[in-house]
Amino acid sequence: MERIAITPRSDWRRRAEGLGFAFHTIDGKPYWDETAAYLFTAAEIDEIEDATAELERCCMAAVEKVVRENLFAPFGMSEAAAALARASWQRGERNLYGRFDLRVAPGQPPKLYEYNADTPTALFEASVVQWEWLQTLFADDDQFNSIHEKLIDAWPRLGLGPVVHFTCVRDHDEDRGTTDYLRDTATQAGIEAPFLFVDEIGWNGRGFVDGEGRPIAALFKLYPWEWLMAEDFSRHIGPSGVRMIEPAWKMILSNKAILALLWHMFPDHPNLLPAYLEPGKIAGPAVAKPLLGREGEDVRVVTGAEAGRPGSYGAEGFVYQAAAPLPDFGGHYPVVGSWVVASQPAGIGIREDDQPITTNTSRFVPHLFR
Amino acid sequence: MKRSRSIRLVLLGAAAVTLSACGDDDEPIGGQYFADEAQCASAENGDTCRAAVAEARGRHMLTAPRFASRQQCEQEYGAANCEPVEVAQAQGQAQTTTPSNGKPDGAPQQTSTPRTGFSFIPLMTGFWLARNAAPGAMASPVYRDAQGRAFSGRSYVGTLQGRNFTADTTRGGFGGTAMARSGSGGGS
Repeated sequence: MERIAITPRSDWRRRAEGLGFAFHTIDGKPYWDETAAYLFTAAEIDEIEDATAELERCCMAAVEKVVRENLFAPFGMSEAAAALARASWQRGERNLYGRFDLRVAPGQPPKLYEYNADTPTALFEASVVQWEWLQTLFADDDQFNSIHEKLIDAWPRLGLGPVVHFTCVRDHDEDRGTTDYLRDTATQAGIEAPFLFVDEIGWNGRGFVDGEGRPIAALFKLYPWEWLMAEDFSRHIGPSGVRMIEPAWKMILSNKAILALLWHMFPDHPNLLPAYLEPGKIAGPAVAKPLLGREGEDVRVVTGAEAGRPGSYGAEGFVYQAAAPLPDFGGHYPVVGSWVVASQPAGIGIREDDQPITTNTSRFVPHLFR
Repeated sequence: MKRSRSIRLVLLGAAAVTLSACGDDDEPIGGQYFADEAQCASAENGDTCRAAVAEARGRHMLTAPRFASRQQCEQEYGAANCEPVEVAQAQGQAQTTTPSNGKPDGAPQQTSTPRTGFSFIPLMTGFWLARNAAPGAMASPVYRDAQGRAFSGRSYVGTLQGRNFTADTTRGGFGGTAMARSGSGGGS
């Protein structure tokens, strides 16, 4: 694994826009960054793929354990949330996608930082934009990325009806872009894919309806489960019979308490970092992460018995994970987002930051292997 | 080979421009039903109501669903719920007028243009006043179908029993958390 300098294509903006990549620049700074690329060997890619498959298996075993042994309390999940999660798991509702954020460093096994199991983004740039980049600059090399094909394959297998509604928040280019990309893949799979904003969803006393009064039988939501559960309409989800993508059991995996459960179930697993729900159990520095934190907010390094300090996240509790700094590639700190589609490893996308905690100001850098 | 063999996009890319031009978001979501101008004026500014009625009427004449026969129209909208519109031809341009408009006795209105026949449209049973809409895009006609369901344009807005409107869809029960986190996205 190395970081190589690349001359950006002079027309990269035009190309990105031609693909429909609306958020290649965020707040005036390039988010898509092709001044560099990460170059892997085939063996390194195989190791990431195997670790991803292994972590997904561990996660499924953990969900099974939570449901079977009713271990929802450490996750801070309400009775209503637990009931939805349990029912969706017991019905065997299938999942579409997820992104493991991995620490990948040369000569070391990949380590799980966290699992974005519910509302992962950075999908379109991984699936389409970096693929197009490879085609134009490194057509003879390969890339760990069959996300697009796997998404189109996955939709019909989810057992949804002919129409799936898609929703996300207003005024957010990145979320809208990701949602529209998924609508694109569903459309190619023969599914009708109308869009509405999350606040436009209606309830008519029997079921959820869209702006035209059409029933919403299945809903892809780029909107976190824990947010939905805090809102008025959540009480209708169960009675309505609506199929949700991701399914409700993903609430268990998108909650960072899962990191402590995984370490408890699979101690010393080479792809896991030690993690506990209580401070002071880790010798050396630990990273306190809010259980429901997003985009790196309120994450901080703690030592000894020091607890995490809630900011806009963290009132729900923290998980304490052994500190494992991102590898340093000349002042650039990459985190490898490893995608699963229908629980199968599907490819990677790399975001790098100039500081060791990845936030929503990170840049997306393409990769290849040979 | 671990990469996609080929990638095709059907909604994004060049097509995206067309898509947004079609407008996902043009339907009035929030709003209120009024049976007529008087009912409107009891809740809203009188000038607003007068303009809204005129606007809804105008849209009704231009965009109401058209049927070749009264029977076909009544099948959709119920007995005595349809009215004829005169289809007139003037220099190759189709024009319509309602014979009953403004005529309490329903007597056919005499026109000077040559008559070529009638088509049938549902009665406008009130109007939908959109919330926070721009002037000129605030009111649309409401139709009641044979099952008593009320539609504003394509949007199902509730049920009608006579003049009694029940909005049986509530909205806004999702999305509050994102709003409270001002501009925060749902992705991660």
